[in-house]
Amino acid sequence: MNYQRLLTGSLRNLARFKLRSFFMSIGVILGVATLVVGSTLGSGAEQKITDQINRMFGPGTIFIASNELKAPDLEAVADELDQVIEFGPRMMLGEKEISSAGVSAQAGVAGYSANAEYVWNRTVTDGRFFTDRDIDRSARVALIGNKLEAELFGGNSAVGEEILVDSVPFEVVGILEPIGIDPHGEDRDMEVYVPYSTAQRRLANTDLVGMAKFVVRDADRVEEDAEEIAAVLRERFSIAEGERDSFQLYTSKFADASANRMKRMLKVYVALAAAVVLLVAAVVIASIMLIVVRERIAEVGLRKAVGATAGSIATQFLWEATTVSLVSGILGMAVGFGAAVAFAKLYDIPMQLQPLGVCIALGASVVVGIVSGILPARRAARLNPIEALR
Amino acid sequence: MINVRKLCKSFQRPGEGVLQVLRDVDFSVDEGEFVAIVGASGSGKTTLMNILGLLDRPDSGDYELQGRTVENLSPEQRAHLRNETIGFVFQQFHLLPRTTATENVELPLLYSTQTDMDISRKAREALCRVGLEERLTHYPSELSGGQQQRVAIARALVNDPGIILADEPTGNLDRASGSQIMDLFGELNRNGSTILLITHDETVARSASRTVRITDGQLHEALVRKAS
Repeated sequence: MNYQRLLTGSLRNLARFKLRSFFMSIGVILGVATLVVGSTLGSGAEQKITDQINRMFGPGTIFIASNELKAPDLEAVADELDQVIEFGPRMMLGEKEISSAGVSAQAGVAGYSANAEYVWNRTVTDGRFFTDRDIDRSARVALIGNKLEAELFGGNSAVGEEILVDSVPFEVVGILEPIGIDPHGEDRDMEVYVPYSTAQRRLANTDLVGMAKFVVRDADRVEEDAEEIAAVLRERFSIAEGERDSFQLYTSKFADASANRMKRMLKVYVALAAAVVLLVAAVVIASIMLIVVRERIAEVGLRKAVGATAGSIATQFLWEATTVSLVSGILGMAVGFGAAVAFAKLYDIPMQLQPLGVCIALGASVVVGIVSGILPARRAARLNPIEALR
Repeated sequence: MINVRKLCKSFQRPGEGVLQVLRDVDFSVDEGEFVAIVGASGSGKTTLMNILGLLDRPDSGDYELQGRTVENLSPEQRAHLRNETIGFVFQQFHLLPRTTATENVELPLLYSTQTDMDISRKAREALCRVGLEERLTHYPSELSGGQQQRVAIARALVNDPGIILADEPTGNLDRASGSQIMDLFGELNRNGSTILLITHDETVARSASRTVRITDGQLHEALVRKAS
């Protein structure tokens, strides 16, 4: 059996019957492309999830939400527990009308403390962050996202300009670091940050803060620390034993666990989608190959007459199915990379080449070829040459 | 070359009982002979050729091919023996469509142990022997019937088989092409090829040096032996 001729023969058959080859290829192309997109963007998407989780919940952080929470409660917790090394409130005021010189836009407004740059992981790219003095004086200063800056001031710098938040004048002192869209779909580059004290006094007329984050010394002990924080808060909020807590605590460990769950699901979905597509591809190739065998009965008979064994006939058809599938797999990789580049650009996901993913994708296409070729190859090998030549 | 003794073959035909196709056939072909088996359709001549060509097995009897008893060979061994010792020529040519003349002729060599260079060279040589040196890269659809049958003959020759089995090789050809093909067989025979021709046509059979008649599954040596 001359394998080199056999290979060129199958490639030529592929080229000769273009439409048929296309139908056989399309499933494998899609399946492999899915795998390639999944493997090149999967880790990037995971990284993105991790980044966003880390921004919200860095290691060793405890997040608290409560509609009774006030600034003194936070100080009390920090005083009571020396493992708390930093804390900061986050006061969500919702969408407000922001305007400047007649131009206006809707933007989410939130109140933060001077250490939010560290506690909430967001710095400024232009101007300055809040200072403790801004907080103490309830200064009417604001940090705005770069998109909001562009919307209100066109191409000009907003630093030093005045904006109105619900008709209260603020001076823009800094531009927030761009961080894109968060998992809830909020465009964080459209936000306005103001000192939480200013938000309480001048915008919301309240002494509540709503949310806060604690940073503790030992990231491995966040669960225990959260329990201690809960104990302090129960006392301060006079929540009796057995009564429902009026606050919710989330630790960075809990967040990691949910992030991991999300990442696992992402993987499973990609693998599942690719598996289904490849399975369909195998069925399509197998059924087309069965038709091909029927069409080529005379050829099989002739090959047997000139000395082909059942084994070499089977090899030939198995080889043809595998060639279709492997060539489609290579095309699918090209399509997959193209799609990955497009997605990466569109959704700002970092791309990462995964040699293992590429190997799995190619391996999968070979397996599809072999699996789908077995039945047609057996049928061809069993043909009786006398009947085949009739 | 070929030696068969008491060959029998029957087929089970649904609703018609058992059909005895070959009865106690004794037959032999010597090396270098050009033998014609003549018979009407249904006389069993194609069945005989399938058995002689190792495509079918007899129910009983002995078959020796080139001094080798073939009854107990495995399907793989029969395929290899077929590849090495038998060249088929069919009525319908059985060329692969959309495949050049050279590639068609190369086909038997792909199933033997030949190097790539030998394959191409031998295919070219075989096509030259049948007078198609100008048609090496033509597709069957670009060739006349006579030329297609020449390609098929080249394919039968290419592996230097011990014997060429030709089943109605002129059956699909006009008279002129048919007689050219028969001339070619004669020439090949003069150059040393052993040829077994199966036909229903007495005029075609006249090219052979010996004629055997088959009727109702039994062989009769023709009385007249043509001197060659």
